[in-house]
Amino acid sequence: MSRDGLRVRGRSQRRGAKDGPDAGPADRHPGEAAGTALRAVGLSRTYGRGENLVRAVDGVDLDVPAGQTFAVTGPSGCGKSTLLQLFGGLDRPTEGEVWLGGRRVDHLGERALARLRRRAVGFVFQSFHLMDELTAAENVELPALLAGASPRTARRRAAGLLDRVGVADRARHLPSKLSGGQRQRVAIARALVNEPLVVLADEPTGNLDSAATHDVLRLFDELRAAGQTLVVVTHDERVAATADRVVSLRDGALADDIRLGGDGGTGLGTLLGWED
Amino acid sequence: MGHLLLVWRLVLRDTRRRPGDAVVFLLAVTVATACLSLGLAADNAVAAGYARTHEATAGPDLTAITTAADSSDLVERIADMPGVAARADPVFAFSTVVQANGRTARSSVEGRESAPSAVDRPLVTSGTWVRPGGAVVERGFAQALGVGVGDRVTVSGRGYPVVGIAVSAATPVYPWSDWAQGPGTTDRGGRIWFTTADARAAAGDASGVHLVHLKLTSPDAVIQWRDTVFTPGLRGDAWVNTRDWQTVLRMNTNMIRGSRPALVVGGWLLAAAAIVTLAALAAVRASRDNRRAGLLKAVGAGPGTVAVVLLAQHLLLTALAAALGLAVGALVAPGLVDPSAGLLDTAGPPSAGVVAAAVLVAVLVAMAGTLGPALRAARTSTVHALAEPARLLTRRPWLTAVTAYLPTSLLIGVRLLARRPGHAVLTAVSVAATSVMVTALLSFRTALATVATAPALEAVDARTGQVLLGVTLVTVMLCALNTVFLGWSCAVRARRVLAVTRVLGATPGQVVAALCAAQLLPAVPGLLAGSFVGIVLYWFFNPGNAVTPPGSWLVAAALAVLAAVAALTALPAWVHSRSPAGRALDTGPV
Repeated sequence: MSRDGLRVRGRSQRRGAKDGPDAGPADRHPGEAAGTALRAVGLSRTYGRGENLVRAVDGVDLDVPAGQTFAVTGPSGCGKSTLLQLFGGLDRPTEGEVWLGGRRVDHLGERALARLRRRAVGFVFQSFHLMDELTAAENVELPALLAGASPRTARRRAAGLLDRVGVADRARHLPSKLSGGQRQRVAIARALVNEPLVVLADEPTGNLDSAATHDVLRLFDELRAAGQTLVVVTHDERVAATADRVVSLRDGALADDIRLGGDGGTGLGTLLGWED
Repeated sequence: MGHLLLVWRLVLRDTRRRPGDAVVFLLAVTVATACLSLGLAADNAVAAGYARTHEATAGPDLTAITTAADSSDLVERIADMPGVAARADPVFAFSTVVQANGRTARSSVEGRESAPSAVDRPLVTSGTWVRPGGAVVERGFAQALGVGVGDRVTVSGRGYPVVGIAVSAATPVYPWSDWAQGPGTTDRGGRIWFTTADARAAAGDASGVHLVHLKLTSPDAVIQWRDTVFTPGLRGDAWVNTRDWQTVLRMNTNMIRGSRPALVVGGWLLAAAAIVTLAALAAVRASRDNRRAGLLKAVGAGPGTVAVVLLAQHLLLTALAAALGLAVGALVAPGLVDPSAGLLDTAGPPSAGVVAAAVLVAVLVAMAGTLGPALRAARTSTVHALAEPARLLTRRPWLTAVTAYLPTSLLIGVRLLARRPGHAVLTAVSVAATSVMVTALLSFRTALATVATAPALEAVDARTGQVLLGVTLVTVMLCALNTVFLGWSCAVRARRVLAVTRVLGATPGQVVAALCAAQLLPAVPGLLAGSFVGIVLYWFFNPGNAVTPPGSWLVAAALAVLAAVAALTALPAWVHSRSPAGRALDTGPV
């Protein structure tokens, strides 16, 4: 597994802004010029009404600069996952705006959001969410094929990524034959196959043992070093400590915002005692 | 290309992973299309069998029958007429009573030479052609008498060994083959060939007829040709009758008048039952399909792509099922439509109309059972699909109040039923389809028991009974499968609610009884509606024979159906109630 292997192409960050469908001048945000990958403006998501109103996300303003690793922490039910879903277009805000690569995306239709997800966003879930009936390689090929890549290109990209996340020898195995850590590495490879503008990870180590957690953190560290924008929702302080910036949510609102070092967080090596 | 590969890969892998789903889907759609195509192809099969026999035996386009002792004048006059392509020498025939194997039947006995005739050359299917002292029996008639080569038939008090069995297209199949009866009412009967000398000897003093078989240059215009040629001047003083090939074909088709509606109506009922099967299957698969939809959407698939993936499998299976149904219909039809075995069977390709109808039914069944769930899954929010959220139930205070006084099992059953009205409709439709066929079968049996049937029509009635029984059994089996599926789906979808009731003190037995009640309550109206429709349909297709089964039969059948529903529901309910309630609570809300 090489650091070069997880290098993110610089143009991917531009592509998210340039290639998006229906992106007119009015959708451009000033933040694009400053290299902001992801921006939330007054973002709210409520459920129910009247006495039963629940504010899952409550007026969040955030900028995620391109190339940063960004951790969102907080207690259960504070709205972390909902925030991530709003960033990735899996859910729609009740109020506020979401800008991805300089393009406003919160008002897009379902089809446009699907195109956005396949080109600009990569998801990593706590429960992996791999297709049970497809092999590891086929799971990684899936977003590439959806994005219109030829079968040969998809196969080539998947093979390369599986090699780089260290599960090339499991490429033809079904998810049920993989360990939790291996599944999550396959899921990370899947998230990267279309060279997305941003990778959104929801509790990526929540279902993993310590060894597998270390493997995933090592991968994230390489992604960070390669300049990949990464937003990680996590309970795990070790994961949060690897980020460039950590925000805490409480009752849906931002409670804390910590920048960890100027050159990119603590780093896994430091955290695990591999480096000084 | 990439999208096609993706869809193909997902369809193939899902089918491989759960072959049972695909088999059930194929089974349900295939039996519906096969039954319907069999019913619709029946006429074609008769026509194809007749055409093949007509061609193989140089069958006549028209036969002139005369009582004139000397038919040579008539033959000469006909032979000179324009439009005659070929004619055979007149055949002497007389009608008599034949005994064999303790059975007595009317039959024409035709005198034939050993040399082949220009028109009507019966095809020997076993044994040999006529020889002095030996008889050749028409195959349908031989089957009715139960004779084969080597047996004996008695004609005019003398026994003749059966030396051959043959088929011919010169007359309709048994029991409408006796054309030697002359003027007046014609009785049903068979057909036997002797040598001419033996026939004349056997006839004795009995008056016979002469049959003049003709081939025409324009067989399709046989009616116009007959009306033009057979003028009173040509007929002379003797009685002359004519039978054309179109009449023969129409009488052959009449042999399936009881079977065809059973197959067509049965096909539609099976289609309804198949829709229930697929809908129940979709309900069982709903959770899995929702998750697949969520996973695909999370990696960038739009609703259209998700719908295509979910429906492509069903469409492929539908195409396969339609092809299988048509193949079964085409292969089985020839044997089914010729109960007397008087024609050469031939399995021809189905007509465009039959193909269109079968494909339409297959697509209707598949889409009715799967389109809604697939589109729902495609439109479900990705977050919800991945999280498998709880099904939001409407609170119904009146339901809670009304059911509060019921025994525990009935209380749970009624509440399950009220919360899933679609499930109740599926159960009612499935039971109604069974009830229609069972009632029609009972009506047919009642008619057999109360209305005298001519012995010659026994073969037709027997075949109609077999077809009705077959369609009824298939319907019952499909509906039994539906009952198990619906019971299973109800238990799966309500597993958390049922687990909570068990936590609160309900016994596994009460849970099983509740699920049975949820199935039995909608089954009762389905049963009543099905019985009514079954009787009405039987009356509609048998206007001259409108019977109603005895009340005791109907009540016994209804109780048997309800008992079967209860037993088949209890099976999956029992399997579900065996697992600990805590585990069901942990499986997540449904």
